[in-house]
Parts: sequence; C-alpha cells; structure tokens
Amino acid sequence: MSSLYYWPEDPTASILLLVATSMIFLWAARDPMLKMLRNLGTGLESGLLAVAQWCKETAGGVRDRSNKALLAAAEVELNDKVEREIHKIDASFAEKVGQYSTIHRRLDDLLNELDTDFRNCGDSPPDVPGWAPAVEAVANISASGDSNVRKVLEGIQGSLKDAGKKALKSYRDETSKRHGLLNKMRPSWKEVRNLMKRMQETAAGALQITTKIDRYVDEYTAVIKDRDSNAHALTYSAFKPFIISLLVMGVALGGAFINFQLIALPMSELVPAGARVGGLPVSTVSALVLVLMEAAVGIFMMDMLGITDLFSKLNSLSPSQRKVILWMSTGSLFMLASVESSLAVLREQIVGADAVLKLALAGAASNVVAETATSSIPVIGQAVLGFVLPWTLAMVAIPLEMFLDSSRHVGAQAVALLLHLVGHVMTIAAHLTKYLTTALPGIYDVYVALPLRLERVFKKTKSMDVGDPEVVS
Amino acid sequence: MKRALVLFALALAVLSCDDRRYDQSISVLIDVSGTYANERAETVRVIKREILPHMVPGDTLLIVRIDSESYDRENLEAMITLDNRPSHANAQKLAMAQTLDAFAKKPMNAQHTDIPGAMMLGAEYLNEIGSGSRVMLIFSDMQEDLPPGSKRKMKTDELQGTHVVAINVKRLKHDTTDPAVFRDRMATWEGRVKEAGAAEWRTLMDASKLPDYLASIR
Repeated sequence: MSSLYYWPEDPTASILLLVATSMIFLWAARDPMLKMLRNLGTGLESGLLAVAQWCKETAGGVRDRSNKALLAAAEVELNDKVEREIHKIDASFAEKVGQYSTIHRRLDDLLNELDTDFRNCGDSPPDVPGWAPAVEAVANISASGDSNVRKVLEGIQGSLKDAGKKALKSYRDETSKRHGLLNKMRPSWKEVRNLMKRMQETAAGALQITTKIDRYVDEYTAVIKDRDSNAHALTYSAFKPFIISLLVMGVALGGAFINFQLIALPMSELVPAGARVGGLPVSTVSALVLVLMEAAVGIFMMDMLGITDLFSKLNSLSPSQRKVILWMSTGSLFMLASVESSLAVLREQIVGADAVLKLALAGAASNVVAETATSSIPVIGQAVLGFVLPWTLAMVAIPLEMFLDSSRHVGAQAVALLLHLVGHVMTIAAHLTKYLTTALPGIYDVYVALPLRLERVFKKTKSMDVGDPEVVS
Repeated sequence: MKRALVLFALALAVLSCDDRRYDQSISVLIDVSGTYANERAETVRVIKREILPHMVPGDTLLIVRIDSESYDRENLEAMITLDNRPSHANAQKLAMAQTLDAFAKKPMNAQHTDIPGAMMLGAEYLNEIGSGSRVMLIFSDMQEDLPPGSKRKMKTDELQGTHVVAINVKRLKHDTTDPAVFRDRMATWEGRVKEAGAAEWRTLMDASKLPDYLASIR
C-alpha cells in the first residue's frame, strides 16, 4: 500500500490524493461504469439462476433414476421372494401330498381293522338250547319217595347245573375276548387321532404358505400400481440397511484389524522380513493379503450357500458346480483359519523370545522371563481367536452386499439433496446479485458525489447563463 | 470390472518396482585411546540397550575401533547383517552382544586418536553395503591426535548420504575450563564432516534418544 503513496512521509495527504484522483477518474467514467455494473449484475444473476436451474433439474433426474432403480430392485426382490416361496410350496406340497396319500392309506387300513374288530365285538355267545326250561321243570319236580325217580331227577338237576355252569363259562370267555379286541382297538384309535392331527397340520402349513404368497403378490401389485409413493417408502427403507450394514462393517473392520495384528508379527518368520513393497514391510502386506483372502473366500462361500448374491454370474452354474465351489471355499477357509491359528501361537513365542532377548541384552538373567511366562492361557486364547476370526470375517459378505445395495440409493439421494441445496444457494445468490445491481449505482454515485454535485452546479450556472428553461426548472 | 482389475495390476506393478532400499547400516566407532578408553563398558551397554534391540532383519551393524592407526581392517571389531527371519536375527543379536562384552573386557589403551581414519574405514564399509539409510555413530571425546607421519584427508563424497552422530562426547579438562574450546572443536568436526558430503551432523548427549533418531532416518 505504501508503494502507492505519492508522499511516503505523509500518508494522510497521499491517501487523500489517491481518493481525490480516483473520485475524479470514476466521475469521468461514470456512465460506462454504471452501464458495465448493470450488465455485470444482470449477467451474473442470469448465470446464477441458470446454475440453480441446472442443479435442481439434475437433482430431479438423479432422484428419478434412483427411484426407478429402487423400484426395479424392489420388484426383483419381490419376484425373488415370490419365486422362492413358490419353490418352497412346490417342494412342501410334493412332500405333503406324498405324506397325505401314505397317511390316507394307513388311515384306511386302520379303519378296516377297527371295523372288523368292532364287528367281532358285536358277536354274542350262543343261546342256551330251548329245551333247558323243560329240563328245569322236570328237575324241579319233587321226588315222591320212589328212589329211582329221585335218582333220575337228581341226575337231571345235576346235568342242568353243569350245563348252566358251562354256559356261564362260555359267556365269560366270549366277554373277555371282546374286551381283548377292544383293548387292541385303543392304539389304533390313538393312531387315527394322530394321523388326523398331522393331516390338519399339513393343511394348515399349506394355508400359511398360501397366505404368504398372497401378501407378496399384494406388495408386488402395490409396487406396480403406486410407483411414486412406494419409491418414497423404499428410499426410507434403504437408509435402515445402509446404517445397519455400515455399523456391522465397522465392527467387522475392527475384527479384521485384530486379525491382522495377530498375524502381522509371525508373518515376518514366513516371508523375508527386511523386504518392502511400496514402503510397507512384506510381512505386513502378506498379513493384510491373508486377511483379505479370508474375506474373499467368505464372500464366495456365502454366495454358494445362497445367502448373498454378489457374483451374479455364479448363479448360472449347475448345483453340482456350486457344490464344488462351496466345498473348495469352505476347505480354503478352514486351511486359512488353521494357518492363522498356528501363526497366533507362533506370535506368542516370538513375543516371548523378544522379551528374553531384550532382557539378555540389558544384562538380566533369562530365568526371570521363564518364571513369568508359564501360563498357557494367552496361547490358547490367541489360537482360538486365530481360528474363529476368519469364520467370523467370512460373514462380512452379508453386510457388504447390504451396503452395496443400499449405498447406491442413499448416495444418489445424498447427491440429489446436495444439488438441491446448491440450487437454492445459487437462487439466493442470484437474488442478492439483483439487489446489489440495483444498489451499486447508488453507492457509486455516493463516492463520486462531490464532482457530481460540482458538475450539476456548473451545468446549472451555465444553463442560467444560456437561459435553458429545463435546467433552470 | 476389467478396468478396475487392470488398474489394480498396474498399481501392484508400480509398487513392486520400488527400488528403494529400506535397510539401515550403522557403523559404530568406539574410541579406545586416552581419556575415553575407560568408557568402553558404558559404550557397549548403550549399543546393547539402544541399538541392537531395535535393529530389524536386513540391518547391518559394524563396530570399528578408534586407536592410533584406525584406517586398518583389523580395527573392524565386529560386523553383522541380520537374517531375514526374526528368530535367526535374535540369535545373531545375542552373539553380537557376547562379542561386544568380550570387546569391553579386552585391555586396550591407544597412544593416539585417529578419528578420521576410523571414519574413512567405516564409510568404506557403509558405501559397500549400500543400505537405504547409513549412520555413523562416534563414541569419542572428538579430540583428534594423529601419530606423526599420518595423513588423513577425506574425499568430498566420502560420507555421501551418511548421518554422522557424535554420542556421549566426553568433555576434556580444557573443555570444562572454557566451553568455547569444546564448541569450536565440534564446529570444526561439523565442517569437516559436511565437506566430506555427510547428510547430517549432530551430537547426542542422551543415548536413550538414539532409537527414535535411528527410526526417524530409516
């Protein structure tokens, strides 16, 4: 600033001179300057408005595309759900129908058995012959003193009693047989009751599945019919899996970090410890690669189990091929987990050896460490952790898929929101520019007020001299 | 997907083409003459506590004795380059510690102090090893006392890329009488070392700062 001073030793006078010079210059250039300011303001305003318009239109486009993608995803998901349920029904119905015919056949057999048994139960014992009352009447005739007659009558009476006893015995035997048959019928009735219950459950299960399908079909129809409101609802529903998957992935990242820490040190025993790749020790890179491999194998495993669908190309594989990949990935994960477990044990040994070395170099006796490192709990803990963590890490495929699916929509919504915000800011800026454009000529005139006033006074005097009526008035 | 794979392969190729060496070689010069001869045990303790434990596989440590004629290969007391396997490297460290203990107990007291000769010898070894980071640690009173007839002139690139550190520099009697003498001596050494192309010259009074310093210049 001081370089602009005309008299550097007198800044006040220099500033006054600068102000005066600029005032005169601006007064002289007033008309083109005002025109330029107005044009600049108008141009800036229209430019800002155009940007605001573009932002809003782009935001709308992004939102539309996102909504369409959401709807398409929802349709695909519902389609999949319905398809899965139909497959379930197919399998379930085939099984239930197969069961039903077996149950029915068994029920028929049981009913036939029951019918026969019941009929057998209904058979009454043979009646006592018709002559029995006659014999009884003869036997009851009183003996008239004739010993022969008495003997005959007593014989008849004895025979009658014997016959009665035999008939009673026969009756009792028949009754016991019937009771036996009825006893035999009890388990059959029980079985019939169970079979009926199973049939009822089968029918109820089928009804439940049908209800589920009804619901999915209703949802599907609703998605097709009411696209806009559904897109809005789906946007909100996309936030939930996004947040959840983000949280779970954060936790998984923590697990991966522990996993990495567990194997980074012992890895230096397996790979050249001094070598580096891009500034990082090869052992660190190897440990990182091992952890990433576990995650990758886990993703394959989850895909083959049908839990995730990250590699859509693998869907076209035949079930036998899928099974082969599943076994391969499970085997690889088992191997990696075993390696990691052994590395975790090795880590403990290395740490112990390092401690001994440091103490030995410091001049302490090595038995000091031997006494403190007798517990095997840390070794077991590390080995278990080393084995379990890869399996846990394998499950990261589930939140990863959720995250990839939902982040697209959430990202698009965020971009749309940002564009909207920028659009609004631009609109406000355009309005401000408009007001500034209106206000700037006034401010300009305030700055050059002094020469302007002098000009007007000079014009007035001149016109009074010439006699210009317009200026005078 | 294909593009991402190509980019990944390219990044991997670029990373693996990294020719830079990350190993460190440390040349320790130990003065065994005059007033510093009694400091050997302490010097060995510093090496065992502050240098050896922090060395990583691939690093090199060489011990050079400063005596009357230091530019002699016999003055190289010990040298190790740590194995790539940490367990083997630990065994080497223990062996080195034993060598140092034996060195500390050996009776020796040189008449003269040929510091530049030891520096030249150490520099030759450092240049031959060609590590990514080169350090020369000098345990001495930094009082040069060449025997008659000896000439020591370092080349301008003798200590190229080497960090020269004087540790536990012992103050002599006239240093304590007039600290300016000591400071002038240090300034002279700084000039000589810089002339020989050293990357840095510094003095350290606290040896416990050595591990952090060595890690910072790795």
